[in-house]
Parts: sequence; C-alpha cells; structure tokens
Amino acid sequence: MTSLEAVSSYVPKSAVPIRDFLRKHGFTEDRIRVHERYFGFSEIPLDPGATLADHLVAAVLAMEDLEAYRPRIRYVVHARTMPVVAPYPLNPIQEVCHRLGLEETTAFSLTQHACASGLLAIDVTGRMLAADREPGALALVLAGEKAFTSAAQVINDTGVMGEGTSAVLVGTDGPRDRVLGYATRTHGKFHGGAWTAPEINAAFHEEYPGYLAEVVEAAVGSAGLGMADISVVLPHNVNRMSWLRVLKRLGIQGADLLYLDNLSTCGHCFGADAFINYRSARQSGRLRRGDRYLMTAVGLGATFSAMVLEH
Amino acid sequence: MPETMYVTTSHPAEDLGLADSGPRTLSLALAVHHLAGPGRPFVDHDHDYFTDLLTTHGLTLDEERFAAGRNSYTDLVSALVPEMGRYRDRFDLAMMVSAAPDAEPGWPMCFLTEVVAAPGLAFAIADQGVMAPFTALRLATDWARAGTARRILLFALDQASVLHDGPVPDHLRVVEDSGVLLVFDIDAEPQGRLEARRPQRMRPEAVPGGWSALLGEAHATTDLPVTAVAGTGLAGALGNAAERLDVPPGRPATGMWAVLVEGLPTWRAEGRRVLMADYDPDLGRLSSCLIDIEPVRGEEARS
Repeated sequence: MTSLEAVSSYVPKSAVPIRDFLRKHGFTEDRIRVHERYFGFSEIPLDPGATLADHLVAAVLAMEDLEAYRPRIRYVVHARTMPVVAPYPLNPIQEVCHRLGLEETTAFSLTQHACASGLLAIDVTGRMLAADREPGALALVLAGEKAFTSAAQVINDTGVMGEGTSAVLVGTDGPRDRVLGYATRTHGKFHGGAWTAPEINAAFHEEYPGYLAEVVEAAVGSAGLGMADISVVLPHNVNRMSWLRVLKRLGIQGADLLYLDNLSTCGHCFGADAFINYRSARQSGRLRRGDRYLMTAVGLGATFSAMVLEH
Repeated sequence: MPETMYVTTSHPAEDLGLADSGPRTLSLALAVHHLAGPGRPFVDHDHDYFTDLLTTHGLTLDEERFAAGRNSYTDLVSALVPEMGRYRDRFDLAMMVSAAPDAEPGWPMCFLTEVVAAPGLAFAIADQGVMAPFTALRLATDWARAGTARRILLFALDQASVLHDGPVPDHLRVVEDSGVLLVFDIDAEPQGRLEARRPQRMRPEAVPGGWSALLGEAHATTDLPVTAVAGTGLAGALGNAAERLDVPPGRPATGMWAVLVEGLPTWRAEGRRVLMADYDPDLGRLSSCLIDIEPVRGEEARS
C-alpha cells in the first residue's frame, strides 16, 4: 500500500512583506488590503539568489535519517508546476540527483497537473514501486519552485507564491501515513492557465468550490470514509475566502478542520503546500497517530486533486 | 461520480493485478507522425516569461529567434488529435513526453482533456532526455497490467525553439517541430505488441556490449525477422542486426517513433520484430523496447 515514509520541507528564511510584494506588481491599496485581511497573506518567503536545485536539495537535506533512506531510493521525481523552469538543456532535477549522489536512481519531472502534480507523483511512484515489488524500495518526490516571473509570483485572487519546497519519501510497505484514496480531475476548458480571458477566469472562480468539493468527496468516498472521519485538511495555501466556499459546499460548519497556519507566512509554495503543512501539523500536534486526513491541491490548467491518508 | 475523474485507492501489488494477471505487452492500435510547419508567432506574455527565465540564468532572450515564432506542444497535440480517428472518443491514460521544454508556458495535456469527449488521467514526463518515452511506456505497461487503463495515448513531442544562444549538445538538439502519437488499446486489433524493457544503467564504454546483448536477445527469442532501430546515442555501437535503421539526429523525442510510423506498413505486411533502443549519455541509461508485428493475413493485407 502506498505510504509516505518521511516528509521534509525547506522554507527560505528571507521573506518579503506581502504589501511591498503586491505594490511591486501594481496592486491597488484596496486589493492589497483584501489580500492581507481577507485572503490571509502576510509575507512571502523568497530567496532570489538561490536556484531551483538549491531549494530542492535543501528540502532533501532537511530530512531526518536521510543517509539511512538513501540506498533504498530508486526514483526521484520533481512534481512540477510551471511548464518551463530552466533554459534548455539545463535540467534541475538531474542536477539535484548529481548533487545528492543519487545518479543511480531514475529521475524525471512529472508535470501538467501544475500545483497538483505533487499528489499525482505520490500516486504514480506508488504504482511504480508496487510494480517493481522490491521490498523497502523508495521514491523521492520533490515539490516547490522558483517564483521567477510575474506569472509564477501572483495568481489573481488566488494566491501569492512562495519559494518553500518539500521532499517526500514514498514507499509501499511502510506503516506511516498510508494512502487510502486519491481523486483527480482536469477541467480542460481552463487549459489557458494564468493567461485566460477575464470571463474564463471568472468562470473558473465560480466553478472552483464545486470542482474541489467534487474530488474531495470522491477521494474520501474511495477510502471508504465520510467527511466526519477526516481529522484535518492539509490544504494548498490559497486565499482563505475560497476555502470557506469549499467547506460550505462540503457541508462543513466553520473552518476548524482546515490547517491554514502557514498561509500567512509561506504563501502558496506551488506543489509543496500540503507537505509543508504536514510537517508543521505533525510538529504542532495537530496531526495525531491514527488520524485520517486530507491533502488537497489545485493546479492551473485546471486540475483538482485530493488525497486521503492515515497517519 | 463522473467517469472522467481518476479515482483510486492505494496500490498493493496484488490489487494492481500484477500477479501476472494483466497483459505484459501493450497493444499498439495506431501510430501517427506529424511534421509541423513554420508555426505561430509568440505572444507578449511569452516574451515576459522567457526574458525573466533566461535572466535568472544569466542569459539573454534572442529577439531574432523570438520573432521567428514557434509550434507549441499544444499546437502539436492539436494537430495530432484529428488523426486519432475512432480512438478519439475517450482514453484512460494519456502521457506527453519531450526532451526539450515547451515553446510556451502551456498546458497541452489539459487541452487534450477538453478536446476528447471522455478523458481520463493525463500528465507529462519531462527532463529525462531521450529516455522519457521509454519511461512512459513502462508506466503504460504498469497501468495496462493493473487493468486500470484499456486505452492509453502517448504523445512524443519535439519543438526546436531555443530562445538563447547557449550550447545544446547534439543528442538533445531539436531541428524540427514534430509529434508522434501512439495509441495502445487492449480492445483493438493490434498492429504490434510492445514490450517495454527496463532501462539499463551503463557507462559509455559498455554501450556497444549492451547493444549487442539486446540484439542477441531480440534474435534469440523470436522466429520473426528482426529490425533494429538505433537512436542517435547508439550511432557508434555496431552489432549483428539483419536490418538496422539509424534514427536521424534532430528529433530526440520523436525521431525513433517516426521511424516506427514509417516502417509499420511494410513490417505489417511481412511480419517483424522491431528492437527500438537509445542511449542517453547524460543519464547513462540504455533504454529499449521490443515490438512484435505479426504478418497480416492475405485478405487483410490486400484490403
């Protein structure tokens, strides 16, 4: 059964106040206040001097017991949001493997689910490991990116992007954090991503709560559970208001189920949000042994995904 | 629950149907190659995106190349979709592979889910040089064996636009915009049965021996005549093949599969085993697959 053996994360220490960041992008003072007061953003971790490979390596090196896991790693996958992240033929994921001494592994990037590629990568690598049937073998899934251009810095009315990264070791026979269910659906009418016409963008925001609720219910149902069985939701860090609409669609009162502690200081760290939230939810005691919990992600394009796990 | 949603539980090997219950080979139902024309102009936001991307790596956007336009991967997928014929109505799994990144920050697999009536799971494999198509074939085999995908699409794509003047090694250089679509369908009359092989890690000096071993195995386990299709990474590796076709350089993701598309009608008439292999010197991997093509019967061949 697919399981998460270990999860680590890295968030750059240098941060920019959201107010300064949005001003630079031409946001009005009114819109800046909306992002602060209603969407919940406060500051954004950015490290312009570091490369994508630097950030991904930092997430891996933050993993406890890495040396013990290293000989068991067979696959390294960068679950990528942005379609193009390096000038050809530069290849950040192969650079990461080289820097970590993981050249023996099979490494590639998994893309086109954008910020939902992280959950996809857990499912895909879980399948690969299951097919290999090698006891103890692991896949290393990396997520998170550089906010190098305006399209990768702010998604209108959705999120402000941070440069946090995560590393997840996927196994098939571990006792910790077993995957119980996964659902994903791509709504191709939004394939223009960040560059859609205003009316299509408006339609996306209108449909968003229903689409996300749909995959949440499907994932929970495929796990043989109901929403009442879910202890905590580790979400993608997009604006708080949109989450309230999703919870309403799911028939959930209040926002206690949501773990949004990192939203104000991390922003939306591409595909890494749910895993960064996992780390801090564990450390804070919010995630406890035996809890069934939900990870969610939505990617430009537009892909909606949810995964149910048991801690 | 909508049938276009991909929903799964976890994957113990026995649940995946991997206890030898599913097919070990992929049924090749359709193979199509599209060679693109000059392409469309870039748009303004492409200029911002690529300027920022290149600047962060100390490079400058080449305005002349930018003005030349491009075929994006969405353009190439769009050109291939009408060729899908009777396989256009649905798919369970679709994968896109490429060596070079897209010529625009786009979502071609999301586009695909919009133009196919009943789409399944669609994603892309990238940053794996000439090995990416073989990884996709391995995944396709896993999905097929598990019984979770009956129809699988593989889009192999090349686009030649590079907006900087930094070096690109010969084995990764793209000179033509090109797309190949392979459709695998367990319910179709197969044009060939493809067996994906595990890539072998080897140093460059071991590649001739590895290639010879692949050829020997290909010949030893069939009564069909064998044709070897050798990727550019095997240009220097000779071996005892009755027929060897060398993939021309310039299309790292599609070149090999375009050779398959071109040869398929002849091979179907005569029957053939086709060994397809390439070596990626950056990754140090020898990737391969075998396709067994049974000769079509007389009446079918004439029709």
